[in-house]
Amino acid sequence: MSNKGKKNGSTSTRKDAANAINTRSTLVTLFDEFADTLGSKERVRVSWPSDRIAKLTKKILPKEQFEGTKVNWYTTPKNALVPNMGFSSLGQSASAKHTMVVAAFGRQDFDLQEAFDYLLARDAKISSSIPVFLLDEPAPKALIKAGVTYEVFDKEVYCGPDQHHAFKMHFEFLWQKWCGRFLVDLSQKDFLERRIGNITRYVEPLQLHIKLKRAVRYETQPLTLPCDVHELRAKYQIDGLDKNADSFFLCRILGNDLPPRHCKGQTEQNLRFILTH
Amino acid sequence: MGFRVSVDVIILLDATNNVEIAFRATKEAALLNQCGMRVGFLHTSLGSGGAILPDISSCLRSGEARLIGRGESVHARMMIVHVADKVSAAIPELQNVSASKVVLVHHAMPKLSQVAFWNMFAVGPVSWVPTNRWVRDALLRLDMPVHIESEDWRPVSEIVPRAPRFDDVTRPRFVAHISSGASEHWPKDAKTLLATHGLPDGFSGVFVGDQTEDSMRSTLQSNGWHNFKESDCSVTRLLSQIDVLLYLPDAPPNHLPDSIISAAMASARVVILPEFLRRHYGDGAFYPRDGRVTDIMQRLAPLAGQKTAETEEHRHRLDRAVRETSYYFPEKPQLDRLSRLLSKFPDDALNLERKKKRKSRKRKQCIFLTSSDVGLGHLSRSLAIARRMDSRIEPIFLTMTTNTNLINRFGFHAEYVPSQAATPTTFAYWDQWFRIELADKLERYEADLLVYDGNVPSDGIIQAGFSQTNCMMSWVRRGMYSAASTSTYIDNSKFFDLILEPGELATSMDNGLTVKRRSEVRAVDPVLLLDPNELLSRQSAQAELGLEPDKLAVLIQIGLGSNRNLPKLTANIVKHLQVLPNAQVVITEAENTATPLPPWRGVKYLDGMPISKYLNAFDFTIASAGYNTFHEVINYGVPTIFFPNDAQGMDDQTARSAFAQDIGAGFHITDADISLLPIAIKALSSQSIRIGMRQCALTNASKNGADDAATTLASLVGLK
Repeated sequence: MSNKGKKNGSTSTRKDAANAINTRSTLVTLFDEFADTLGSKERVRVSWPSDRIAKLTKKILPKEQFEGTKVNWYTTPKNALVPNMGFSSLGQSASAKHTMVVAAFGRQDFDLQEAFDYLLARDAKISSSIPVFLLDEPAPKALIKAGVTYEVFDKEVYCGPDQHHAFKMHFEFLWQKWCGRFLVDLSQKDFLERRIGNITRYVEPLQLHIKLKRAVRYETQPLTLPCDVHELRAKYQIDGLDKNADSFFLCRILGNDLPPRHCKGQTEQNLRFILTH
Repeated sequence: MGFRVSVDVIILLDATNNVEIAFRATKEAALLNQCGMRVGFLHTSLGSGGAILPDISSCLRSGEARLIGRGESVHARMMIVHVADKVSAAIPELQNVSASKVVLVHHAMPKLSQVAFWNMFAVGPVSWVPTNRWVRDALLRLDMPVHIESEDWRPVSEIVPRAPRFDDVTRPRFVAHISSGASEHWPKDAKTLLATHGLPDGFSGVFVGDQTEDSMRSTLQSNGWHNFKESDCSVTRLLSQIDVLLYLPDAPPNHLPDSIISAAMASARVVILPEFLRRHYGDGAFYPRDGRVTDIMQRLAPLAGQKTAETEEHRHRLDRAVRETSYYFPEKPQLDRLSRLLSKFPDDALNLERKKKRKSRKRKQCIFLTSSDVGLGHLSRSLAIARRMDSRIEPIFLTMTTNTNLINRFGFHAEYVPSQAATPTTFAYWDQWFRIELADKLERYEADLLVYDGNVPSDGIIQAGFSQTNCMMSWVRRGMYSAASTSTYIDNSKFFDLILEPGELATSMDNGLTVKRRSEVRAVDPVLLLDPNELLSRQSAQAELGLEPDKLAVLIQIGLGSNRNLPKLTANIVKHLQVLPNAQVVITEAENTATPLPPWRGVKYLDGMPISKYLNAFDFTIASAGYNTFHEVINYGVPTIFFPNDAQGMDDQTARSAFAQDIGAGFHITDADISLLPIAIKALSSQSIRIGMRQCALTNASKNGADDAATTLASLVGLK
């Protein structure tokens, strides 16, 4: 696949993103200020009961009908787009310059959170790429909260058993749109391969390709950026974890001095230093 | 040898190049299809390798023709070749093709260098047919031993209905030039170009043609002409819009845009041509003397609704043009010839009284395109209109709002498309991709109507709309742009068939850029999602929210989005409300927001829409002055402390908020004078003040304009 595409940044959008991050950091101050009056969130969901059912007439487009033709169905713009970096550490590395297309078809919202965490914890090559998620679930909370870019394949249009070609055409369009560099497939088993054929086409030689067919595995590798303590603290409070009684404790057992490796009393001395500082 | 395809007629063309041939080929396909012939387009790329032209794409979608793929093996009763004058190399697509008869249509003067290539079209017995007398003359002079058809290959003129217009709305009259764009189609020097293509007041110019020279393009654009690429504009669509077609080459060109000119004449548009083309097009067109083109435009382009003696006279002239065109570009001889060439048509094919097959759906489909912006204003207005639409119209949402579930709950299909905010890339780059995605949706749903609610009618939206042959375009454009705001794309408003302006209670304070453009809109009353009778009663609303009836209930709805520090402002408000004894505070907040508010004890959080359903539960609200919130609280009589969001790019919320204070329906507090908040809260905790404010608000309440908007939009697609 072609990866041509010039990336350009927009100052105003970056400014908006900076504002958003700034607003998020305000939250931490607010949590401190209102610590005494905080509790758990009582949500009321507003909805509008409607018995209306959408009755659509959909067309299979000529581009999805006539596979063998060499006609261009649209003029591909010269400049591909760059996904948003979002609020997480993913893609925030100064060296982040590639778009990683993350396919997560057939995954529910909870799974997406897992997938997201997995990518964050993955090795430097992934965490230094900016992700764009491709999904078939609308409104994925985890991704919206994280502020990352995603595209939704409407189930009625692209995901039916007779819509494989439509899916493939759309996938290739989005690959070009976001200038995909490599693909991470977190979809349900065989979902993607059945539709786009040979997945390795979307993997550059020597680039990383991960395909998870089972539950995601966590790997402990250092993140490229230190974690955002403000964000973690805010999240801890938002989730109400600070109100829960601790269900564990951490204890560190201090071993005795081992002369001649240690001087006599060194353990006590170290402990005093830690407690003092 | 691949898969064998069965068609009666093959039309060989470059489907990505030359609007004239594309338009002509689609008309030929339609005619043949009506006669029971199966038609296949065989595409060969001879030009720049651009995208398929919209009219061809539409023809394929309609089923009037199919595309023949490479490697497919075809034998047809006839092959019509439209690429003879462009060919400069072997055409690989002809490898598996054969035909009982081949008609080589010569659109341009033959070049000797091309003659050798014409042999490759001999996949069956060949005859030549010129498109006009100049080409015929040149072919005869070649003196080749090939049969030349005795009659020119003229297109059959077809009427393109004019897009509906509204008497009370001023729209510019459109003048267009449509051709391949090559320099032979234009006056040779810039001075003549300016003299003949100057736009009188009230006219807008559009030219289509990818081969237009850069210098000419820039001259025209700097004189108010808009340029569409061939792949961004359907000829059918453009002809439905225009009043005048201008085609003024200096000398007979190689390649006349016959099908476009004849369709314009048959559709009673003013067609202005040079005198030397009179013999070819007859007296139905207008042939200016002394280059007085603008005079003709001003006198002849009919004004919608204007019935003066002068326009009546011109109407007769245009009727004559319609009549004459049917003689110059007739259907019967062409059908007779096709019947002869094809040996035999089905028995009833030549019956001119036959009913033309038109595939029509009973239900129309309307795509509501809503931009995300800040808040849910655009979406709410669109939902308000959609749920009041004629039952023969199916609304479909294409939205940049992340939470498509909100729309699904109203029973509408919704698809998400990332807005420009999803990328740090520039708007223009994003818009090019968006254009493709929007066109895809319009085609997939065969949209009859596109309704855009947003502030940026970008080139991408216009191009996507104009690339459809039969999709009306409407812009729901609220007023109250902030005084300082500008819009690069505001001039694109001329391309919408209808601009609806939802009413503004504070319209007297509107100083935005749309004020001077009011004549181009159809105004309706303020558009609200719910009618007053759809709101829950106070008791029911309070019961559903779990509020105690004997305590003060306050709703905070200061908006969404990241262009304002909402957590800080909300915290400030909550702090002051917590001072009140027995105050019950409810805050609107989306669950998936990227900036969640702190979980204050005793405070409830409302998530979803329509929030207005619960407004009766509250004694007063503290709100931003966005369009929906503002009009809802005033119309439903809820006393409000307004905190306008005056961030750059927002509507003029400060003016709305000040207006509310002027009429006694609310308090106006800006971020700068937030110290006034406790005083305002204290005032609204008094029941007598609330009653007074409620009365003031209800005095200014208006009718819901959503019904009117829905009815007007339905009329745009022919539903009364």
